[in-house]
Amino acid sequence: MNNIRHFEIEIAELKRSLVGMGNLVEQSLSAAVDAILIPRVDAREEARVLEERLDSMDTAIEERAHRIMALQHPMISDLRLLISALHICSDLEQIGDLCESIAKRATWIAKHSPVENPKHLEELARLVKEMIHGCLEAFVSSNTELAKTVITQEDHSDDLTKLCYESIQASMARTPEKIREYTHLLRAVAHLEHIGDIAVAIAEESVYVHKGQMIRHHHEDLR
Amino acid sequence: MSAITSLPQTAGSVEAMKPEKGYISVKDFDFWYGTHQTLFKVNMEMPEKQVTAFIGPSGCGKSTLLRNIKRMNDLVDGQHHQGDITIGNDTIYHPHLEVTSLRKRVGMVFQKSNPFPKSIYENVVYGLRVAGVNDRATLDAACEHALRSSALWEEVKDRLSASALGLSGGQQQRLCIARAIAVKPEVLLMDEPCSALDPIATGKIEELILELKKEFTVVIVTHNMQQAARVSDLTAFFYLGKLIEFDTTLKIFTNPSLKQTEDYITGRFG
Ligand SMILES: Nc1ncnc2c1ncn2[C@@H]1O[C@H](COP(=O)(O)OP(=O)(O)OP(=O)(O)O)[C@@H](O)[C@H]1O
Ligand SMILES: [Mg+2]
Repeated sequence: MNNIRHFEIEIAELKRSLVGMGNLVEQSLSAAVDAILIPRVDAREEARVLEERLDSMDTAIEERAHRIMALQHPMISDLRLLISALHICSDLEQIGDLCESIAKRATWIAKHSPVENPKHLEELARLVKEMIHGCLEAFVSSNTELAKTVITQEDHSDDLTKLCYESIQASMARTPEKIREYTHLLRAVAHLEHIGDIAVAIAEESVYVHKGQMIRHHHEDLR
Repeated sequence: MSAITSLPQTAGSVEAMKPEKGYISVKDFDFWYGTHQTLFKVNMEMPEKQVTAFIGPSGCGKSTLLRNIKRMNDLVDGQHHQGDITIGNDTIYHPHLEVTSLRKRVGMVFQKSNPFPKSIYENVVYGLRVAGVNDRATLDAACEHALRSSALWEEVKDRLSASALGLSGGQQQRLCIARAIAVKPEVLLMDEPCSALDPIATGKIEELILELKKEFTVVIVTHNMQQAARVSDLTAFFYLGKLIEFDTTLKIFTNPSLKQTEDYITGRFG
């Protein structure tokens, strides 16, 4: 029984590290979103620093998960938890990269001519932040209902993305001399949408952990 | 390139199905040692030429059920049972059935290897001699076949007349398997066959089990969860004399239906 208690401690610490990484990702996302809403030249540097911290957390979590697998031979839901933790960890790392890319684009825009933001950009940014927060919360607190909410938010994020694209395309047509600025903005919106998709993948992962039900790639029935 | 076609087959059969009717059927089986009931209404169908693993905490009745399949509890004072066990289509409790003929159909390998203090050769052919076979050529052929089947032949072929007690623990265990299968049983029962072996010897026995199931219906008791997962097609979880959950090994080890099963496998029991 001693052994199992040690295992619980290891798992709790792994979860804690994931939450820490999640918090940092949320911070990075907020900074990127702010930077795109009001472009700033220092956004890029700020994002780079956060990204470096995320990378080292990613490595630490992977090492910990690997060690638990090698030494504790987790089974059934413990095994699922570890596999998912690894997936989520690399998902978070990817979000960090996307945030950095958004910040770079914001910096580029800030250094060039100002652009007019799509009307729905703020709402999209808020929704994506909410989805990221929700999926991590769902994973850590075994909240399958919350995970399902995040999964169903994907449609809304798709709609908002489309509206943003349309608005950016109209701006491009109106002000062709700013086509490069708007291209960066368009890419930033695409990154946001992508981050929302990753939130959905994390939410699916958390359903998998708690129910043993693989829903990645086929969650139509949840809607 | 023939690389793809030469890939090894999957070990445990991921496609294993729980059969309607097994080769070994246990029906409403209760068992008592004197007044102490150790098995309660056990029902299970163990499929032919597959490996069924029994798992569960110490004292839950795994060995008792296994021994009953060979009627090895007959000699225990005050033992009695209710219900039935069938092998093929034959009830093992049929009044006209000779217990010795049943025992020939069922081989058993124990936790502690128990070779007789005789030569390797005589250990293997022991069952055949008891059955009255004395023709040297027949015995030789049976001995070689059994030793090959138990993956021991290469290691002992040059010293068949040496004492079996000079073999290592892992070799002795494979010798016991050879002895059990030399009489060509239909069913092979193994009660914690690897618990005294090192990982290499254990690996050999596990490989062997996967080979043996081509010919025999195998039932193995093990406390090693990884071992049950690796070698068996179906897994039965027992607790306090009751069969709690019985399903394909894949199901039991990835997503069991009952929390109790999961708690046991993941070590959270009690
Ligand atoms: N010969 C016997 N006479 C009386 N009681 C027995 C006898 N053999 C076993 N028992 C009892 O029957 C119960 C089941 O024992 P059994 O040996 O089948 O358990 P098991 O699941 O094989 O345990 P383990 O994992 O420790 O081998 C136990 O309570 C045990 O004490
Ligand atoms: Mg036992």
